[in-house]
Amino acid sequence: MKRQHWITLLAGLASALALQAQEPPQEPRNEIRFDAATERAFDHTGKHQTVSHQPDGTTLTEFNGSFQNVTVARIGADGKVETLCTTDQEAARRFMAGEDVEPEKTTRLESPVVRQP
Amino acid sequence: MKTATAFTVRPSATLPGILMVLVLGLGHAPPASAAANFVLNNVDGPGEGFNDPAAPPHANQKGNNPGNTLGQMRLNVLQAVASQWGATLNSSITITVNIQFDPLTCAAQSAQLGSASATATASGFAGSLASTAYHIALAESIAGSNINGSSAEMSATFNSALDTNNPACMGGGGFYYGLDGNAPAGTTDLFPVVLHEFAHALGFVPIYNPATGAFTSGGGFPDVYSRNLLDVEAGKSWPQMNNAERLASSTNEPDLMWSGNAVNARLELFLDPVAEVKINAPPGIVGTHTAVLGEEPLAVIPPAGVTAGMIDGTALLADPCVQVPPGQVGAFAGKIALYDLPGGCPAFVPAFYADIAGAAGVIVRNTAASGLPDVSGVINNQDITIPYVGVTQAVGNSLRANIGTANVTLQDSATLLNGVGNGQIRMYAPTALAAGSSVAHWTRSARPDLLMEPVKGILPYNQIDLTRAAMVDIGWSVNGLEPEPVAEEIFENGFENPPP
Repeated sequence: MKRQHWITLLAGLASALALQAQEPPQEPRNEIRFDAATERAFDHTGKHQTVSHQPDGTTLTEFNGSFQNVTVARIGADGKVETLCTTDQEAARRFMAGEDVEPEKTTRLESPVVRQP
Repeated sequence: MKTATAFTVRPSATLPGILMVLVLGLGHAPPASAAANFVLNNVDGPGEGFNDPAAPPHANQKGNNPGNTLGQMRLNVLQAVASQWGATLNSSITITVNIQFDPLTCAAQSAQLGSASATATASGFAGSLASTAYHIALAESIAGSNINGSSAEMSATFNSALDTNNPACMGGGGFYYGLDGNAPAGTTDLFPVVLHEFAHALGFVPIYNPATGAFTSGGGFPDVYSRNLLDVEAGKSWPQMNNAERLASSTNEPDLMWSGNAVNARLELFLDPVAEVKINAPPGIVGTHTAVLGEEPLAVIPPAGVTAGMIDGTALLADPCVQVPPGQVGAFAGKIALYDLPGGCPAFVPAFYADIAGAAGVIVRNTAASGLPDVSGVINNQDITIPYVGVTQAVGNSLRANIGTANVTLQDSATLLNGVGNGQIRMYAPTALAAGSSVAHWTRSARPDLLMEPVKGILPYNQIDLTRAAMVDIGWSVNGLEPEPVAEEIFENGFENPPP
């Protein structure tokens, strides 16, 4: 079917590629704000923790709202929802602003391996 | 043995007169073993969040969710996730989760979906490893006792602003509350987000300061998750490192690995083989090279591989990003076409046109000096039915220099799996730009996608996959752990049975 109707389908491909090239408008990174509870959720310094010691020797470290994993989402160039799970507020803002969260375009799947036959 | 799970939804404290205690066995008998019992403690106020009496703004948000109000649909999703984790994990101590929906950050094209975590870690309890911190639900399951009194073990908050039919919030599509993984376009599937976040709260995350590398649990102890992190370049596990070494290791993909035996014994059950280009001729360049396979779902390598001679598509065509001109189509028939990684379009575009022209496969040569090229991405409304793979520039150069006599096979590796090195799965640990997702997730090079990868287009709907084994590695007792694959043993007599 693909070969019989390729003209129509390629028009669709052109649209898809055009969509890919045309990024949807995103919120500027510096205008994305999180509420106080979420800012605490992002905190992984330990400053919100409380530590207590129980008679049996157990040490309990309570996070008090910090040390959370936060999931953010954006609508991608293809119109589909993309998600990022992060503990970093700036990474969350960058993702929500439509920026790349990975700096490299090359895919580092495996180091090249050559095996002799 | 199949085990049953119980859930209790604790009513909001502001609704004392309404009994909302539900015990759902999802068709199973009441718990007869130590399957984990999750209590969802609804902390929302009257008329909001999990108590919202309104219908969702869009009919397509409901899916197969049996609820009729936003509040009930939300509870049903959380219950379903608790059911799945409850059936997976064993614990004699109730796991209480404080749950709420609140208005959180939203923008026209993006939003905060929610967050979750354990409420605490514990160390020094009966049954624990020395000087090791555990997420509290795990700690209590090992100790067999309640360590944190009346406090919840986990907390989870999600964004109610998505369901306000506001185009300025993720386009206004809202959460999808179906329990079937069939989220319509424009909606955000809640179930897999919760399933993923609960895994973190149950222990799938290191407890350290990503700015300093220091462990932060009381006493500065490493957590049990970090005890499974091994940097093969440094030759040290995370507990063996000082803070600076740990910080460097957190961005050391592909050399930061998961060392836990339960996971690494089951990699081949969940991960696809790495693609390879085997050069059969001419004799001077014969060899087998690791490649990266494109993402188009039908562009798979058949079991027997694809073997053919080659043509140089880049040399033949003025523009690889457009259809092959009719006069040159014949040159592609039955051949494996070599292209440079195009600059004007994604790699799948010349692969698509080569498929149309009748090619048997495509090899994309990296234009960068090192590494494998980016052949990621898919076409939304088309299929590519031939395999296309990316190779290093050096391999591409060898093929180009011998294009007239080259004969190659595109094949699956018999020994290498995507996302795996030296028999261990890699952790997500790219450079600092991705800070915050690092180390707490599997590598993105795992294929197929796993529940605990950091970035997703579409999350695996309800597959706990390798995370089940990871839970074993950090100390959970689990149900349904897949048996380890049995290695095929070939004896010296060449048969699978020992000589008589």
